[in-house]
Amino acid sequence: MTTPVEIDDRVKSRPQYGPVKLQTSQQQQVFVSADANSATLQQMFDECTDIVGPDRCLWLTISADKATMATELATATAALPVATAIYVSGDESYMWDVRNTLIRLGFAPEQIQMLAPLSTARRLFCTHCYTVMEGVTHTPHKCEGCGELLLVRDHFSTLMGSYVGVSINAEDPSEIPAPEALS
Amino acid sequence: MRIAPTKLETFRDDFSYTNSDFAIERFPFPFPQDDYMYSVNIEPHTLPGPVDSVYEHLIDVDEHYLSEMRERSLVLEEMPKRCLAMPHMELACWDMIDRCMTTMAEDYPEWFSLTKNGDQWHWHNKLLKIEDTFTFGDSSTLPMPPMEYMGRQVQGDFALLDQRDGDLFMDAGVVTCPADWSIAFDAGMGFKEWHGPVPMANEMGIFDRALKYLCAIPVNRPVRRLNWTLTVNARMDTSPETYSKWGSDRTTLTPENIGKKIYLRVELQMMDRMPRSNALMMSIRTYLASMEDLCSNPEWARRLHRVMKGLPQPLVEYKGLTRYHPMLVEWLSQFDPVN
Repeated sequence: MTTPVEIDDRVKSRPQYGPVKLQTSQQQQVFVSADANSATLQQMFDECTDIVGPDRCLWLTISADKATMATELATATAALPVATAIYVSGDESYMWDVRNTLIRLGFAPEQIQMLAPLSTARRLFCTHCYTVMEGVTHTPHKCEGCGELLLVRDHFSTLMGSYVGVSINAEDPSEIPAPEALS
Repeated sequence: MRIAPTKLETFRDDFSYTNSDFAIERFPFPFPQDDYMYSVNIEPHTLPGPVDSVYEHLIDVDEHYLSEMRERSLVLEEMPKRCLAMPHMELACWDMIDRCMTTMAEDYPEWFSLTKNGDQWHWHNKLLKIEDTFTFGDSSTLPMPPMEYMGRQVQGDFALLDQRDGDLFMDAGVVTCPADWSIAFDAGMGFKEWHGPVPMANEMGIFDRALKYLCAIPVNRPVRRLNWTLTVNARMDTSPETYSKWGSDRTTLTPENIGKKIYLRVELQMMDRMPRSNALMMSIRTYLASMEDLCSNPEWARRLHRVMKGLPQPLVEYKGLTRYHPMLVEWLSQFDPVN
């Protein structure tokens, strides 16, 4: 095949986060974060309150711990109408945990919008021993389970909210590359 | 004549795996042209295919059956999570049991037999000496979960793709001989998600077209395609899980041993609609043949040289060939002096 194509080097499973728009036509507006340090989310909440009034805006502080999150979200969203728009802010893995929990509770993916992640920290799944690590900021990263030096890849599982790590020096274990900050 | 599987070879440690002349002759050679680029190379898997070919039956049982089944149990013993099925895939797993057992018993009556008496089924796998009576659809009547039970008796990796929202989701599978992908990590992913790391193909529109085509496959109209890569040694389990065991194999190559140690790894991928669950069954059957064996066919030898020489750099890297690609092209050039 000789069709010329623009080559895009990115791993396509890595999520991209576009600008988030208020869906003010929806009856209920819900803003979710683990704590109050998202200035952008706070700004959106204020703006939304001005437009639709405080009764239709709900601020939820939801734990980052998965089990607690499930209970808290189930309780907080039980009485919400179908016409609900949800905005989530936090670290990338947190936002995906919230999204996946909401989908299990019956929300549709298009009701949930995620802001740009608050940090570059990644959840990492070791492909060798299946250990899941939080807050990984550099590659390579030493696996906390099996000790392999892991190349942090951009291949992403939305279900796990996690990137995958694979041995960086399996071909030659004497190669120990210097850590680089993740973007 | 199809060869009865009697030998027990290894795909690790001493790598005793070998191909008979018959196996080399019927090897699914994946290069129809002197150059290689992605295409949506999906075609109907019309049955029966040519006698004795790998396309003759829905499921090809060949001389390596016993060896591959032993290799699968070795992998599952070490890493049981290489086989998984999400709870909503139960029915699809039974669809797979039905499709595999029914066709295997019809196509190889000397090796497998299946008797159905309502939902009371009796299965006899004479090659592996497995004989069970179970209630179709009731997983508690099997000695292990249905995906694992069937997966341990059929060559090749299997995935069951759940179809919803115009997408195909990797929600069940038994994957012990993958070309560097992990079902544990890719579980639950949609079609474009699990293909996320593949270079170039997305921009070429390959995945859009393939997904549309696959979602429209009707029952009893299986399709197939070939995919390929290269593997050092006859290693079936080139999974990311075990990469630290096989990554260094790539440093053991020399101009003298490269023809023996590099295997062309061809995947015969077959997609088949399941009638009860609407899932798509995907079997990824791996055939391995050494460069030396393949080059006993002068046409294949010449073509291998031309394809490898012209392989685009992103594919060289994606397929993990960077370290030895020039050495291989040099070795193959002996069969193609004009090029």
